[in-house]
Amino acid sequence: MAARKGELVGIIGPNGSGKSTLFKIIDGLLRPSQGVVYLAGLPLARKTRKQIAGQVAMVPQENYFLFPFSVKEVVLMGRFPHKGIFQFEGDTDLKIAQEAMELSKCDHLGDRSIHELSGGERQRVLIARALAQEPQVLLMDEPTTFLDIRFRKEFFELVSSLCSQRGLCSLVISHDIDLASMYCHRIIMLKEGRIYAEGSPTEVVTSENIGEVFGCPVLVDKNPVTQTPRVNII
Amino acid sequence: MAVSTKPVNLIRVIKVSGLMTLLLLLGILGALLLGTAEVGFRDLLDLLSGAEAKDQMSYLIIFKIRLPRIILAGLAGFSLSVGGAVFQAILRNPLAEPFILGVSSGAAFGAVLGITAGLGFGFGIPACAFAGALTTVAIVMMIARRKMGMESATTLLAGVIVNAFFTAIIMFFVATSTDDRLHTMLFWLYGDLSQSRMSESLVALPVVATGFFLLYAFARHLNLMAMGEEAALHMGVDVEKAKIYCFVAVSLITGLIVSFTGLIGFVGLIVPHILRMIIGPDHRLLLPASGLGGALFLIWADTLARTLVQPSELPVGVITAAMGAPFFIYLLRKKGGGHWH
Repeated sequence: MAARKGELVGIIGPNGSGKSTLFKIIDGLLRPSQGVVYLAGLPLARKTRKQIAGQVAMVPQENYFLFPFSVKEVVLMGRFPHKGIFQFEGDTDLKIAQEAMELSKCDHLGDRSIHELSGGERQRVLIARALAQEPQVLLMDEPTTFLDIRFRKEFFELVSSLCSQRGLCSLVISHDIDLASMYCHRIIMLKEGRIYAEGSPTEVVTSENIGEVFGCPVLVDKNPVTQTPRVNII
Repeated sequence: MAVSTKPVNLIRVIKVSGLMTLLLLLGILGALLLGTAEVGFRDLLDLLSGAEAKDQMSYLIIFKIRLPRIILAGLAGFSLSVGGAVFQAILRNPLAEPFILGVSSGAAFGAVLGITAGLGFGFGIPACAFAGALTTVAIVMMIARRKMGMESATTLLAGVIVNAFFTAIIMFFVATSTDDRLHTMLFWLYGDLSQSRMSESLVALPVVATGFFLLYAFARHLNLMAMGEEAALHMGVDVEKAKIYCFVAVSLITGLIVSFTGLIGFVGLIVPHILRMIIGPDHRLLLPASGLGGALFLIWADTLARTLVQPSELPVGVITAAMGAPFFIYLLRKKGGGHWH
């Protein structure tokens, strides 16, 4: 599989189909048993953890908010791949972090402790942190799990605009198939560790495919307003 | 809770470290004045500035008894406190610290083996203590990893068990040995700074300094690891490497200290917590602050230990445990002690 600049790709599939594993391979945390991962033309295997982090940013599922760091401090953590060992963050880093927070619409939270934030606000802070890494590729593993309808839509709107305006290549694992179909340029459907289908949302999200891959009978029609695939459980 | 509004920079680190050093020096001065024997303020200043001692007694008391003791207490407090802060970050467990995790008793066990084997106090015994501490860290990590997430109560439970195990073995050795150098049971259980010698501090100082320097290099890594190992990995931290370096450094300084002072607990629990509330969770500030604060803390705990029941003395670990245990319970109740999401 491949993903290009400015593309928003949705990764869907049943539990255990290998979605998170795929991300770990793309991020260099796991080595593929077959094949090679290329990032901007260069093989991933030759890069260090830090170098990869400077190009690929991921918002993982598990996050701990143990200590009362401020939002600004959390976002600045994303600058790690670009700093040396005893180097403190400078004005450039602060500027980049500020921009990341503005993009992610959490700049007004800058001085608040992450303990005080809601799930949706924390999500935006984590996205800002990922953006502060100045990545070319943004990976997000089920980022909408704890978000309500409005924040789910806002999230996809945000990522969509990041891709189109900043040329970010973004891959999002989501169980929200309708929403993914609405915003993603392409959908990749995984089944048992393999790519079952790949293409535009309309091509991939069909009654047959969903039924076959998820083992759940569904009827896929069109969202009357957006004309994108809509999954109806029957 | 304090929330810093400006990110940490070098100036802030210097300011905080400077302030804490000043407090420490004042604390040392105060501790030198207190004790069973009377030494007046004037006399103290005279002695410290190198002038002729008013009497031989004062000179001996200050330079041969109190100062070595205070310096070792300072180094011990520094090491245990920094160790606590590091464990709390890596294990993502606010109740972790060398004593509670059993690392101190592992070090003590190593030291006891070293003493029994007839090794020297300059290098051999601290080296054994270091090995003991490192082994215990490995055991604790192994047990912690089994369960979901290292921040669970299981890690602490593992520490308690390890503690009980090693303490029992140490008691066996002490009870069955006639070797004077093995110290008393009380020494190993609650620590003892009354036999402190300047030579111990001279050995300890470079080791503690090296250990701290190494840990400080990973201060930012600790910030990121506190947000989750996976998150830290994705931000570019080589988590396994960071853990190894940090654990080696903490084992080094903890092991050394324990071989000289016996078991002193809870310093690494109380001090980092209080400082985190005051200056925030960034380890680039917290590590030096915890260290200096820990030094001050233990110097004063030891001063209490030797003045509270005059002319008798309490082991310093009794004071720290008397403060630490209620503090532990307070933290447990406040934060639930479980998962943090």
